[in-house]
Order: sequence, then structure tokens, then C-alpha cells
Amino acid sequence: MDEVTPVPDRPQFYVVPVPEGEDMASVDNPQALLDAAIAASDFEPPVIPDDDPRPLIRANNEEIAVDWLRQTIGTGSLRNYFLRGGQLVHCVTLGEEGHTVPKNGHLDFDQVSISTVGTVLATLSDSYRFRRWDARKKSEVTLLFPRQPASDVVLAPARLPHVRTLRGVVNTPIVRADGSILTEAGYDDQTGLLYLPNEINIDYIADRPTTQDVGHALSWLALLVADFPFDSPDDLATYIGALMIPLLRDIAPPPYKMLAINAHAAGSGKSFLAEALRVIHHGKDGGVVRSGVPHAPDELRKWITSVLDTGGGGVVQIDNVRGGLGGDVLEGLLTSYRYNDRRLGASENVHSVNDRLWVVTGNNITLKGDMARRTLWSNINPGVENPERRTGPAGGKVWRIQEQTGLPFPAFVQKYRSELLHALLVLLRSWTVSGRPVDSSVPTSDSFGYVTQVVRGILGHCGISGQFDPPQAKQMSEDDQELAQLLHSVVAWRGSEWWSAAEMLKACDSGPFGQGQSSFDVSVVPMQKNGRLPSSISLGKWLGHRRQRGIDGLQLLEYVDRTKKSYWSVQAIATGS
Amino acid sequence: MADEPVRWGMAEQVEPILQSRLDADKRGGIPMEWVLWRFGYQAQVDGSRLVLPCPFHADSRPSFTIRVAEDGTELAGCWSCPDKAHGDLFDLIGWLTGVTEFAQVTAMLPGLRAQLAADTVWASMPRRVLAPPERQDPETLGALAASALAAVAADHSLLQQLIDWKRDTDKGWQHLTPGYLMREWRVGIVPDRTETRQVSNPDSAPYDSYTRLVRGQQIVVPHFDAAGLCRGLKTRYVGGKLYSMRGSDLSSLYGAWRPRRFDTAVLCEGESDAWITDRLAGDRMDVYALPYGAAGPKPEWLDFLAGRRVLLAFDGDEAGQKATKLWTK
Repeated sequence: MDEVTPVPDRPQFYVVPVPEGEDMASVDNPQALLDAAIAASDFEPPVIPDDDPRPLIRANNEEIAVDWLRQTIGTGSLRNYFLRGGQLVHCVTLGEEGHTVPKNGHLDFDQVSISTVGTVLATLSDSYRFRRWDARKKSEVTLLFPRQPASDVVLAPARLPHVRTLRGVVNTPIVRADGSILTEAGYDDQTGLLYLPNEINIDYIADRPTTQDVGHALSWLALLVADFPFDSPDDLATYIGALMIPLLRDIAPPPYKMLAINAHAAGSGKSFLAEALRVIHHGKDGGVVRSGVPHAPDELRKWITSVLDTGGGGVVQIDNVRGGLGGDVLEGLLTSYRYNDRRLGASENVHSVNDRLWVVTGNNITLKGDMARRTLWSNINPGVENPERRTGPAGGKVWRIQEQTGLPFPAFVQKYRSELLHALLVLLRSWTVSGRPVDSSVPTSDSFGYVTQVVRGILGHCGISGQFDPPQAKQMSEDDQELAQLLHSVVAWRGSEWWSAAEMLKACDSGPFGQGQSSFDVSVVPMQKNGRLPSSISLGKWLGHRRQRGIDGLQLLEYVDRTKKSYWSVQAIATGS
Repeated sequence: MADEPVRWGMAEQVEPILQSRLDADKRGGIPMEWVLWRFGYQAQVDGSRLVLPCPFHADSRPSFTIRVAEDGTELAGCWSCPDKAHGDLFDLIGWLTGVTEFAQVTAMLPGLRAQLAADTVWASMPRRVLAPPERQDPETLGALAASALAAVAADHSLLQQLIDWKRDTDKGWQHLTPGYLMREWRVGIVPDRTETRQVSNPDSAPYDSYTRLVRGQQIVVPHFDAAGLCRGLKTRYVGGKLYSMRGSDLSSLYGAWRPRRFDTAVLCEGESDAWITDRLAGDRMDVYALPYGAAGPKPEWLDFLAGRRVLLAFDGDEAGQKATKLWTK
């Protein structure tokens, strides 16, 4: 029988806590130090309860702790930390190690939250236990993770080796740039997007959808919009196109125009349409919804910052806007992919990505400034006096959806969300395999042109009649309407002759007691807040702000003579489309 | 044969060939000096070794050495970097490149061999082939240690001077006596002696050497291995530092020759720490010291300490902390 040589046990090491800068020869009381070491050598580590699954980490000093955290964050239980806009953010990460399944099945609203030292410490306490050696107690003691290492990581996240870059969060499958469909939950390396499916179960999507598949998909979309009285096929096409936009973010990148679902009377169903858009792409608890837009620019800016900073997903629903919609903040937001602003309560900038589809609803929405070019219009018109009293669509007694599914519209969207999304993805897949035709007649001189080209191409491929974002739908803003009226009145007054602001005001004069007949239509002149005519200087400034703007085929030109006096003329101009 | 592609089923034949190739590389096939030179570090001859400022820490005096072991393997290490205290060619390449996987390091070797063969500048430089250090015969060293012990027995005033001088700064020395050091640690004294030293001159081969007289009495600290053979000596003046005598082999833990009495041991960083610790706690645990300052563990040391509880009592400085980390890793 062979002799078996026993494998010697590895020595067990215990550290004698020699003070810094000392050694055993120089230390004040080596006897006490050794006694401590002897006691430590007899120390039995406490038994860790088996039901506590948190790994045990020894963080004897802050340097060890920060090294450990740098190497750990972005992996394992801390995998749900990402780098977004130069900041460390924390996400719900379904489908990955480290994710937490929502207990009631619903996702939290704040799918992305900015990491602070406090939140990192809280997460660490939740995921790990920490110990350090206590020289006085001669034993290991439990501790909370030290604050400084957590702060180091939060303040300098760009150097963390395992933290991935996050482009955005989606709650639905999307079509990747190469035409494949992102269906696997979790972080997608290819797109940089985090896919968090929310109560969704998408059926198989064929690589090459058949005509029958496309027809089936179209019938789902037809059912979705069956009960809504869109003003024209173009309005319907614009809405269907808007439904597809959040799925296209990798093919036709943002920014996107704002979708305005407009009606002439309350109760027309515009909020249902906006809600459907949000629910389809986020589930009933996801996305962002609010009523009205803050009119103070600072408030609007703060709200937008908070939405982009913390929310996830692709649709922001704003119901029942009143008054003119526009202003620098909104205009800047809709034409910019990057959105920078100061973080609330801190002296630091937020670098966010505006990858959202902003959807507003309202009755007779009016636009201000340059918003017309940045808006998609989808008008609905029930054609009755009190739309809210309808019990069915025009020409029918029962709502079509109610008839076919037995559900009211909101419940239908919630229940059949997966089927509706499946229908959209089938159409997109079909468009992809057919070579991605686009409508190249759409000018791409602005940031929205390519999106319109793509969406029109998809709708055209699927045989959906009507034009997405038709040029004639561009509603004139209040300001443009005002200028157009003035220019037409000037043409009637002086043709293309040159005139001054003072001459225009003089022509408005109807005599000292209003008994005369003015030669110019006073109602088109911009009045002061007190209802009086402006001075010639004020009118000149007003005209100066609108110099050379083309509207309704007319253009306002200025000539300044040697005495610096301005003269104006209205000339015909060719229209762009 | 070595250039043929490795096929399945050939591993048993190929592996020894690869191993011998790796051994050849370690034994000067790829000189460490050339590797360092390629990375921009110039080594100087110092006795039987090469020295250079450590590439891995701010170094005012050269503390990184290259030497040759008895089997011809080149060894490199830094006195001040416990995690780089001793390593072979592969360790050195790993330290310089930051690569930690052995397989990745060996994957670099064919490229390095090709670079070395094509390096005409290196070929034109004076060739400095390091030889293994001449080891003193254990019997000779043992005789020297015995005579030193006899000398201190006759007159231990020098040892007393050392204790008196040291206890002003290091309080632990107050627990030491000449008799204890003689009896327990075989510390002795040698009279005047002559010593041959080699000095640096990179342009000459063989190296310049001269003989000097080590004047005055010196305290001798002998290092015995576990079998009781004297493998090395360290000497010091009162007011000076401990230096190992030429030809010493300090590969065993200091104190390894002493009888094992307890399951608990203390491992100190230097000889004097071991003396004081043993004086204070020698009735409860065995005491050893690292033979040449803070360093990580060697496999034979771990084998020696296997199955025991070991208290690590290294210095409270950066080097001591690094060494502690390496031992407890």
C-alpha cells in the first residue's frame, strides 16, 4: 500500500497591529502588543448566519475600500451602475445580475437616478457586509462602508473600469441600426441602451414577415384608432408614425418633433390617444405624464431637466396645454439632442440626452415663435357639439373596440399592449427587409428631415394612406399670423412701395375724434399693452425683429438711408415647398 | 522540433521541450539586463550582481538588483518593494508590462527572443555574464560563528555597548542582555579581518576587485538553516547597520534552527525584532524573522510554517504593510 503524504495545512495568519512608524524593537510596550496578538490568535471569527447571503468584505482602511469599490462597481450586485453624461447613475436592471424584481410587478417611475454618495452607501449596505480589524477590541468589527471611498467613486466615475456607458432606457423592444430587434432584457452593448421590459410579452417576430403578417399587424393598428375621428388621413398617418418613432431611435436618432394632438372641443379623445402612445411604449406605470406646461421659462426648464435627468423611456405626455405653446426653452429642447442645464440645488451641470417624443394635447393649441417647424400635428374632430356625450363613433352606436373586445379604450391598450407593440415591430421588420425605402423628397435641411423621410418610408411601405407630417399641416404661429395680416394689409395699402413706420401710424390716424376714415387697417397693427397704437420707434423695432422673414409668399424688407431712417417695403417671395 | 506546430497528442513530448526552453530563458537566454535595458533602465555592476535604481518606486540609491542563483537562474528584486522582493525573468517581465498571467508572459517570449537576436546595439555592448555568487562553505561559516561565540564569551563588552546604544532609541532593547543573545541566538564577535570586495566598473571584465581590512571588532549574527548548518553571517559595528557577509545564503527564516515548541509562531521583520519578541513571548510561541527585511512569503517558508498560527509582526511602515498584505493574501 502506498504511503500517503498528508498535505500540510496552510498557516493561519494574524496581524500584530504594530503602530505606524514603529517596529517591535521601538514600540513603547511590546509586551502589550504581543498580548493583543496572542489574544487575536485565539480569536474565533464570528459565525455568519447562513441566511445572510451578503458577501463579507474586509475594508481595513479607506485605501483598500476605494480599490475594492473601483473594481467592484459595475459588476455583480453593483452592475446596475452606469455612466451617463459623465455622471454615475443607477438604474433598475432587469434581466441581469444585480437587478431587483419589483415586488408588485410594476416598475418604479424613476428608472434612472443620479448616484450620490448616500445612495451608493445605501446600495453597498444592502449588498455587502463590511468588517475591519479593531486593534483595541482585538477582533474584527462590523462597520458601514466608509464615506470617502464612496465619494471618490461618485465624483470621478469616468475612470471606473467596469461601469458601462448608458445611452438611454427603453421599455419596449426597438429596432437596432442593423435592422435586428432588441428583445433581450438588460443592457445592450450594441446600442448602449438598457431595455427594461415592463409587463410585456412580445410574440415571435419573423425575420421576413409575410404579407399576411403585415396585414394582421395593420388590423391591430386599425382597431387602435378605429373610434377616433381624425380630421384627415394625414392626421391619422402622423399619429401612426408617431407611434413608431420611439422604436426607431437607433435608426433615426433624436431629436424628434413634438406631437400635438389637437381638437376643437373637450371630450374629443385626444388624451386617450396620447395615453395610448405612452402606455404602449412604457406600460401603464411608465413614462412621464403631467397636465399643462409651466408658463414661466425657469419653471419649464427645471421640469424638463428633471424629466431628462431622472426619467427613462421615450414618451413624455403633457395633457391639456393652454395658451400659446413655445418659447426659447421649448424651441431649444426640440432641436437639440444634447440638453444641458444646471442641476436643481447644486452648482453643477446636467448633461442629458433629449431622446424623448414629447406629446401634447389641447383644444385649439396655438404656437408661439418658431414652434410650428418643430411640431407634428394630429387633429381630431368629432364634428358634434358636445363630444363628451357621444356613446359611439360617428355613424355607429357602439364603440368599435368595445364591440370587439368588450373593453373600454384605456383597458384595451393596457391589455393588448404586447400585441400592439408586436404589430409595430412587424411593420418595422417588414420595412427593414424590403430595403428600408425612405421618402427622399423630404428636405433634410433641418434636424427633423431624416426622421420624416424614414417614417414616411415605413408608412408608404405598409400601405398606410395619408402623409406623415404634411407641409400644409404646419400651423402658423400666432406671431406669424399677426405678421401675415400686417403684410397683406400693407400690400393693399402701398403695394411694394417703400414707407416708414411713422407713415404707417399716420395712415392709421382717423382724426382727433375718430370721425374720419383711416387709410390703413388699424386692427393689424401690433398694439401696446394698454390698447393704444405704438410709437413710431416701437413699431420700427417690432418690424426690425421681423425683417426679411418670409410668410405667405411675402417678405418684409428694410432700407436705411444716410440719416439712419428706416424705410420698409413688402415684396413677393417664392415659397420653399 | 520546437518550431513545429503543436498537435494534439504531442503535448507530452512538447511540454518538456517548452519547459527546458523556459528554463534556458531564465538562465540568461533572455538576460534580465537586456530586458531592463529595452525598457529604458541601465544596470551597473556591483560585485557579483547588477544594480539599478528601482523602476517601481522613487529610488535615490540603487536598490534593484539582478543576481544569479546556484542553478544559473537570474533573479531580480528590490529591497524596498516587498511585492517585488525576488522574482525570475517571467516575474520581471510581468512587473514591467503589468501582465499578471503567466501564460501571457510566456506568450511574449518568442517576440523577445527575436528582438534580442536582432539587437545589434546590445550585441556590440560589453558582455556582462553574471556568475552565481560564491557561497561560503557551511562548515567554514559554522567555524567562524563558533569562534565568534567563543570570543564573546570571553568578552561581551562590545555586545553590551550595542545594547546600551540601541536602547536609547528602541525601548525594546532594554529587555536584552549579552548572555541572552549569546545563549539563545548565538550572537558573537569577530576581531579584525580582511575582506575581498568587488567594485563596480561596467567597462571591465572580469570586474575590478580589491582587498580591504575590516578594522576593529564586529558583532556577528549567524543564520542557520533548519538542519542547523550555518548558511550565512551578518556583521555590524556598534553604531552601524547589519550587513551580510559575502558568500552568505540567507534563504531560511532567521531562527529556523531553533527547536519547535509551540503551535503559535511570531514572524518579525528583522533579527533584533525577533530577539526582543522572543525575550517577551518566547515562553508562549516560537519566534522567527525574515532573513533580509520585509518581503513576501517563499514557498519553503510557507511549508516551514504549515499548520501553525502565525502572528505577523512586521514594521508599521509602508514596506511592512505591503509585506503583511502579501503574506495574508
